Amino acid sequence: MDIQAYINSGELELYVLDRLSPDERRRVEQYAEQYPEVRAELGEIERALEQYAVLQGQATAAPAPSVLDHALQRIRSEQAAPTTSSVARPATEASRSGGAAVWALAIALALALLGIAYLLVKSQAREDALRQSSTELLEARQQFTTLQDDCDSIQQRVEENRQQLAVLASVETRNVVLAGSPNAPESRAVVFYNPTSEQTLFSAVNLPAPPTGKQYQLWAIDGEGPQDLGVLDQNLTNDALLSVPYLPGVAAFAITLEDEGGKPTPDLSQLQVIGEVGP
Amino acid sequence: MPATGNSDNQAVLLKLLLAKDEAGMRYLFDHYGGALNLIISRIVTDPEVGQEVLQDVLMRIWQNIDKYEPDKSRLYTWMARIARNASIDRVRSKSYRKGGKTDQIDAVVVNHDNLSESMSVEHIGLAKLLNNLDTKHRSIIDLLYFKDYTQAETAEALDLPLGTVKTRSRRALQQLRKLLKHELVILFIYSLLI
Repeated sequence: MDIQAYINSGELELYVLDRLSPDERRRVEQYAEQYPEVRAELGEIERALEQYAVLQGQATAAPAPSVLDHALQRIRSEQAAPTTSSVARPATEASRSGGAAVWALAIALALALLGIAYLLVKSQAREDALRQSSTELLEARQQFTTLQDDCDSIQQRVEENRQQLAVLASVETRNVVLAGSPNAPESRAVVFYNPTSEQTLFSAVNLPAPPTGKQYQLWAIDGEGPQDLGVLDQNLTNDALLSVPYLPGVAAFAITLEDEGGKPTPDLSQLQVIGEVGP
Repeated sequence: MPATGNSDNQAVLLKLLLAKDEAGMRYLFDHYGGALNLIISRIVTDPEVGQEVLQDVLMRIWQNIDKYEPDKSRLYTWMARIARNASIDRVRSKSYRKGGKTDQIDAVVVNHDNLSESMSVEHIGLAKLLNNLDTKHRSIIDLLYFKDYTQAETAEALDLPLGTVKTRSRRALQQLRKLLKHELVILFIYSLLI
């Protein structure tokens, strides 16, 4: 093996330039171990290329100092990270883990604060929802009470109607037609009088609306004269059927037009309608 | 070439880097930053991307210094290889087409011509060195050293038979070494004067 010829072949240059196949590379390494001349020559080639690159690089390709700063920053941040471990620097390692503990504590604290904030917001929201639903419940209860009242009153009305119907349907009931007086010849009213069940019903069949300040008053006339049965509602409708107080032994029913509020004794000059109770 | 003291510097640098001392990074950057950047800039043409690659290279050196085998190569040779591989990785990741290489060769040679003209006074020595280095020798060193050209690609680019790439690189390196020796002696004398 002519070592000088091998050195002169240019293979060592290409080895340093990393331009050889893996087989060729192994051969160079093998020779370098075997022959000090090869090793020395490799060193010289490396040095030459190195100096060439350093000279030319310093002259033409000096990098911005910020590149070093950024690299150092990355190195420091990687050293600060707990993942990197270095047995060689226990002191730094300890302070590093101390830093990590502080970080962990800070993160835990931040998480706890976040959690509390979350719970506060959530409980606030829950409280709002609770208040809302209790308000709704209250409203619903009020609505229910109103409905129940309505229902009660309707039931009462139904009961009244049923009783009135029973009065109307009874053979014992006398139908008393109150005919118009000369004061109001067109006016009409009806009284249903039942001495057996002791009930009296009244319906204004055709009574014009009373003048302002005036009110119709209903009278029952018995052996002692006219008895007050009360005033009629000013906006009483003609088809309404009213239950009025029952008096026994009534001979006739009459309506007079009186001042608002009514009077203890009728002004017969203001007689509107009158009807006798039949036998 | 013990006159330069390079061997000692290399040992000190290695010791600092192995100890994870930031001073090692500063020395590395000051002394070899330009050389590594030169390798990168010849492959990665965008200067901004080049800076990113250099930063990555510094990080790789820092992180993998324990994988460097001192008996196999000089520290700088190992670092230069990292720089070239990182550059190639970046260029390939951006799917640079292989076909583009042939077009860039002329640019490389042209750049070299501009280089000696644009160089400042302090680098007159280098300019002289580059001028004295035969164009054909400079081209082969630059294609093989600074760019990711294979032997075959270099042969094609320089219109050489494949078999002569080895011998041509040998002659180129021999000339370079001679010129460097001369240049470094001058630099050494300079450093004594200043």
